Amino acid sequence: MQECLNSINSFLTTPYTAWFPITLIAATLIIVILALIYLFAPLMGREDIRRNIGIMIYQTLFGIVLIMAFGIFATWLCSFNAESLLQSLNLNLVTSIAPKNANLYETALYDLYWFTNYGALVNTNGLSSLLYLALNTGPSFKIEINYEPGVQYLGLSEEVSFTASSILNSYISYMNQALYWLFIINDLQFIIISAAPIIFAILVSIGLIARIFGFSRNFGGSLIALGVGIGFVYPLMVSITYGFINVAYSQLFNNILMNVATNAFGTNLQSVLVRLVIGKITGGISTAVDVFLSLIYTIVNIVGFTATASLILPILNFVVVNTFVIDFSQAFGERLDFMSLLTSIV
Amino acid sequence: MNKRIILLVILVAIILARTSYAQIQLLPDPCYYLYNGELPSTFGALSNASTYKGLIGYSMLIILSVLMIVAFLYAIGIAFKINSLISFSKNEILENVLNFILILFVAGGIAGIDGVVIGIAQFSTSAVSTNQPSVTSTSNLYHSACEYYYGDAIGEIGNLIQLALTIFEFNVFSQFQINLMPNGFGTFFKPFAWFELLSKMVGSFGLPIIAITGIEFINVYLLAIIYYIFPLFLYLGILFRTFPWTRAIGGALLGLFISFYVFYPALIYAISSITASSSMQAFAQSNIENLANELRVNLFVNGLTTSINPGLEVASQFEELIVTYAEIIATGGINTIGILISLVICFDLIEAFGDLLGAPSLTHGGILKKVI
Repeated sequence: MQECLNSINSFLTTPYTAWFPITLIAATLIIVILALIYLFAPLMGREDIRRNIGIMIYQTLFGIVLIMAFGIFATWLCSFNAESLLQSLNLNLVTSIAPKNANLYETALYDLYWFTNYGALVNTNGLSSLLYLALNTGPSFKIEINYEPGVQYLGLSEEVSFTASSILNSYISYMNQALYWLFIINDLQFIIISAAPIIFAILVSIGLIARIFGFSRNFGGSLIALGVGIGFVYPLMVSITYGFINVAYSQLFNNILMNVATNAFGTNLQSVLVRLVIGKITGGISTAVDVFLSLIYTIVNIVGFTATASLILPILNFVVVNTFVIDFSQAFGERLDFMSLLTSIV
Repeated sequence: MNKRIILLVILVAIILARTSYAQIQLLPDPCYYLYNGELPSTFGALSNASTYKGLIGYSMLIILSVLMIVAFLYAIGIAFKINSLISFSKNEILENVLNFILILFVAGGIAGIDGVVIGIAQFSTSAVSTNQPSVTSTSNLYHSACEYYYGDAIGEIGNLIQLALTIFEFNVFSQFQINLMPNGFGTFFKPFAWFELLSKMVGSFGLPIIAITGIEFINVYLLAIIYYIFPLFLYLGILFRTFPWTRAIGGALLGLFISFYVFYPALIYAISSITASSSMQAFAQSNIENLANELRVNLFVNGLTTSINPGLEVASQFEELIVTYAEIIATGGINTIGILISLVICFDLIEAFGDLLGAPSLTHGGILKKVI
């Protein structure tokens, strides 16, 4: 994981530093050409051209300002210690695998990684297996009364499976199906977040170049908006939302869900045994039912939490990113609604 | 001597087990742990003095930088006689003055948001004689809404277990078999096989109850996500509004904050107060019972029992179950519809705020369409 995180910096800065001088040279050339036209336009008696060239020079100058601004921004983005800031807001979980003084991309990747491999998602998966095991454990009962002694399968028969799976299996299958779908969304987020720095570097660089030329200005603006949206706003949203979910899950799991499970398996089991020892079998059975119900409620809670996080957070993140891209692209170039585009394609 | 010690140990174990058994909390209560202060509030962390200073300091710095850029653009506009640039620069100066006022307002009035949230909730519930405890703070409001929906979701799980046991009983009956010839050869008779059909019919009630439980669980944790994450949108919104090119997204984030942090819990609380009020519950109960009676008389007595299978127990069993579960689903459905209505109102509010704060992405039903 650490190698992957380390590579982000080189992914981010290398293409950018390669594009940076090319863009500046192109912009300078354009300004020189425009300045020449600006100077010669009155000689040809074309004041209208002179006015338009003025606007074009301003746009190109603005393009250079943007290149410098994005250069500063990209450097800041790579070096800014986002982890400490989010920790001070209780939006980042301190664990042994947490990267130290991580930037935004490392923090976002760590948050998503912890959620999937150490937090709510992996525990839900583990508990589902435990639940499957618990549901399928139990006696099977068969009674057979034969009309003639010694002759098999003649008479009355009744077969009952007392495993909980025969009762609750359909509900659990709904739960599992929902979780499998949510796994796909989670994986999709992993792909996007891993590619975010390179998307930021390439799209913004191309966008800045395209924005210098008059004919591709709108296209360039839209690319910049898309690059900043996916490359900056999306990791920011992921680190905030999943950071909070990890902190909340850790708190909930440690304080209540784990306590209930411990109560169920520890004290309750002891109680069951004691009751059985002193002969109150019905009391023991009722306690065993309590243990089982407690386990079911605990698992349903964890699944509810995980499902909400896996469903609501991607929607929230995508909506905010899309909102940003629409508004930012409209201010910079052409309106770009990539969620609608994606929806249409899907 | 040893026997006495063993007896003493057993006695102590029994006493300890019984005492701890009495203290067992069978149902976990996430609402209590989410809102009792164990999980530090993001708003609390953001609202401390250093962040305030940071927010004001950074915002002022950004406003100054933007003003310098605007002055530069104004100079270019004057130099090249670009009227659009001149008017843009003048507008920007006004926008930054507005931002300055907004920052002062937010910095001075974050505590006021508490009052606004509670005010909206109390106003919404003023017309209903509610059983819900009155709210005294924003966290209290979120906690109260969370407890209501969590309690209902847990109740629905109880109903699901009950339903599963009923299906189990039907399955047990349906498996009863009379073997007329030995060794599995020839004919056999299953007198209660029709219970299998009944079990499948009753099983169909499970899906709406699962859907209701799922929506209520999602609402419980959605409230927590809103409570802890959305305050950031207020701060980010203000910061983004400072730059002319990110002003729209700043407005959009402010719209999200106001709609969901302020209005959503208040609406949810109001609707849960209405559905939890004794008068509304009595009214709903009598309506559901009347409908159930109509169903009983028109469909089961006059229809199924007489025309299809007179005297057969399947009809009466199914009648009893459908009426019971129709009541359960109707009661849970009222709460679920409350959540959906609140969501629709909030999405509508987002669009209104989008128009007001100049965020084109939030207008014309864009967000609502995407979510749906």
